[in-house]
Amino acid sequence: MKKQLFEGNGVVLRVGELYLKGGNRHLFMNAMVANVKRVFRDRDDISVLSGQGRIFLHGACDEDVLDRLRWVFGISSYSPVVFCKKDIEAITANAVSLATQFHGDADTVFRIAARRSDKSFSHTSAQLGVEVGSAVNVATGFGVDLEQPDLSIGIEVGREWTFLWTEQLKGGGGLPVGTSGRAALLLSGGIDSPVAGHMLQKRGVSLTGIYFHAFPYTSDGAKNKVIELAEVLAKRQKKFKLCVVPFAKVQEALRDAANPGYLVLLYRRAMIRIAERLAEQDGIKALATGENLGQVASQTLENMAAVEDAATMPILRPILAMDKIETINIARDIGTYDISIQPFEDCCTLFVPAHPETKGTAKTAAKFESRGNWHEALEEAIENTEVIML
Amino acid sequence: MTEIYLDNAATTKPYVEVRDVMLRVMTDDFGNASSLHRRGAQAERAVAIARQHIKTLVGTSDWDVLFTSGGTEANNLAVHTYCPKGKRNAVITSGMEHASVIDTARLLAGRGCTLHVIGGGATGAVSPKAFAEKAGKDTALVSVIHVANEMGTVQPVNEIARAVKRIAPRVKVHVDAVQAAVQLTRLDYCREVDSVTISGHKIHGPQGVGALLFRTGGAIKPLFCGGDQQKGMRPGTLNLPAIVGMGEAARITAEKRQAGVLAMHQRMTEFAARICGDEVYPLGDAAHRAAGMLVVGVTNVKSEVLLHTLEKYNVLASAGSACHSTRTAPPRCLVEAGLKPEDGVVRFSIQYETSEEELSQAASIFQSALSEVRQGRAGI
Repeated sequence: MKKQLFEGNGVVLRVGELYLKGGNRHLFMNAMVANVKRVFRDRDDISVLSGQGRIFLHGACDEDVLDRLRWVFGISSYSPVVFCKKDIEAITANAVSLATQFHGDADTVFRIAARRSDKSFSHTSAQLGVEVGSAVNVATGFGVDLEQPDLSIGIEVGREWTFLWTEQLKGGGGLPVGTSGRAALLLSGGIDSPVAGHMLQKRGVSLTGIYFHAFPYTSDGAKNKVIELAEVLAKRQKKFKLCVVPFAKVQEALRDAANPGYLVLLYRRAMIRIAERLAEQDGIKALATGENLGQVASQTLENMAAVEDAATMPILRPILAMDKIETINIARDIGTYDISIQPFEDCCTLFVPAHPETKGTAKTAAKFESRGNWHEALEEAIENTEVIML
Repeated sequence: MTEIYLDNAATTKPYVEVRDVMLRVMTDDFGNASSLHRRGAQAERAVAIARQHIKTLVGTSDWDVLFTSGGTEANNLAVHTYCPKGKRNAVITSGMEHASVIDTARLLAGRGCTLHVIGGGATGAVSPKAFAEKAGKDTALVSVIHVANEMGTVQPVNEIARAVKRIAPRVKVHVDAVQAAVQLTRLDYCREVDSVTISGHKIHGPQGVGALLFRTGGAIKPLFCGGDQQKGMRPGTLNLPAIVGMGEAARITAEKRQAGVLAMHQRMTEFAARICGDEVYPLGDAAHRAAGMLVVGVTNVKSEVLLHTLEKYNVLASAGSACHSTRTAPPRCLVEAGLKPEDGVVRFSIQYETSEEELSQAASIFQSALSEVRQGRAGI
């Protein structure tokens, strides 16, 4: 028999899009329950339950709990709740108690939003609203306004559980991480790539990070910054693998072969090749980047086409069409912005002139590549890739 | 391969004895030096002993010691205390000062006082005459770094102090001896010097502690409010473990200094001879160079790339002050000493125990790292 909750606090998590799922909805629900459980695995005082198409946390409902739920994807909204017995007296008593905790005055207006999914209950939703509402009115003196209330008391009478709430917080939305497969994210230390990773996680993608490290041309500080960024993304999934690819030798080999204006393009082609190889090792079928159309010289449509020519896997570019300011806002929101703006060098500009090629072609890129002896360096880079599990 | 640490001017490895005394203070002998009970008295005694060791190290047995959070705070205290007021409102410093002196002086300049900065020129050593020329009735403070942290050169602090006091006797002279405490066989400050800064972690003590030494009877203006610890001049509970650790470091450094400095001088001279050549040139005059420091310009390389390549082979050095490791332009004093804009700079700083073998290995590694960087083959 399922656990019955007749008292105590908790949080109800409402699933968003999962409602649209048909026959395999349970798979998504199970993934979400597993994700929520993982987020709270170090909190013995929190138990995670599901039922009535919802997920419940039972236990203390502090700031830490609410913060952690903010980025569990698949949740459209969540509310701290009080559980109570399924009878009209208990419901009324709890509603009055919630209303008296609200700091209102003579002008305060409220409403009762009741929902009765257990049709065997003595009162209908409308009757619940009237009866509980008049008790709250008598106890507090608050007026009633169904359109623009200062205080809204939600009541849900379900088959298994009955609970009340007054506050509804916005969840991360999207789908539970892990339900849309895996992708390898090319993670730099910049603002864009962590946001790209975030967007994909939101759509249920589980990520592996790949970072190209140009030591000794860039410092280990740059690497530490990427690890910090990866840690933010890692919190949302079961485990996060970060591959640190020593890239300087590949860059040196390409520099010796090509016109400097083409270097960024050639670096990116090499990165894609390496990333695909690392992805294949883990059975991953797609790459992802933080590329943004027209943002820098290397991100013109022409150059993207020339880079993609080197790829065999689909390259996902979730922030392709976003404005920088939109990206920055998301980065701030998810907490990667302050990490990203630490001043460290970027490997892409190594040996590159101030005005690189903006209209590169795959043909010319391949021509330069055919001159150089970079294959060995590329193999060596894959060989010497450092794996960090977060 | 074991690491060769040549960045002792950034920080030094604490002596084992320092760790041990600190551990003791944090386990058995803890206490608040201001408490009235026996733990208080015990702590106070420990601080008094540390103070004595520090005075011995600086060679100022009859001065007062004010413990601070480090060299930066001690320098700030000195500059703010002698903060020019009224008619006497000019500050003279060298162009090689640590930011805690020069930036504080600039702050005061922004509030209306006059600031004269004397450059070290090609030799990397300021001339007392230049200070004397700027000194006048309006001069309130002269602050000079004894061993310049970015140049590695020794400044004639006593001569400067005498020269300026001859012209303006009421001037206060402050000396930043943070590097000098380990780099010179002894510190011997003349009557004309009024206060001295030293730092714990540059003498193999802990980080986060320093001291301002000043002539007994002088008053230091507190930077912040608090209790009456250290006569209210530097409020806040005394950092007992760090102070005791720094005292122990001072004691050992004073013991080792004579032989240690000579050994450093000999090894560094050999090292300089090995690495300097057409492409690598020493900055600052050899005659003024501190025993354990060498700053070189390297033609046509980026300092960071060369340093990271050295790091790849476990040689750790720096490109000047670690306090400014993120800035892009080289410090002005290095440019004055002949560093060209397209060239890189590397600062090597050793300690008493750095062995000949380590330096000889480092010299070979430096040469091969440089040639790797030159050929654009530094990647791993």
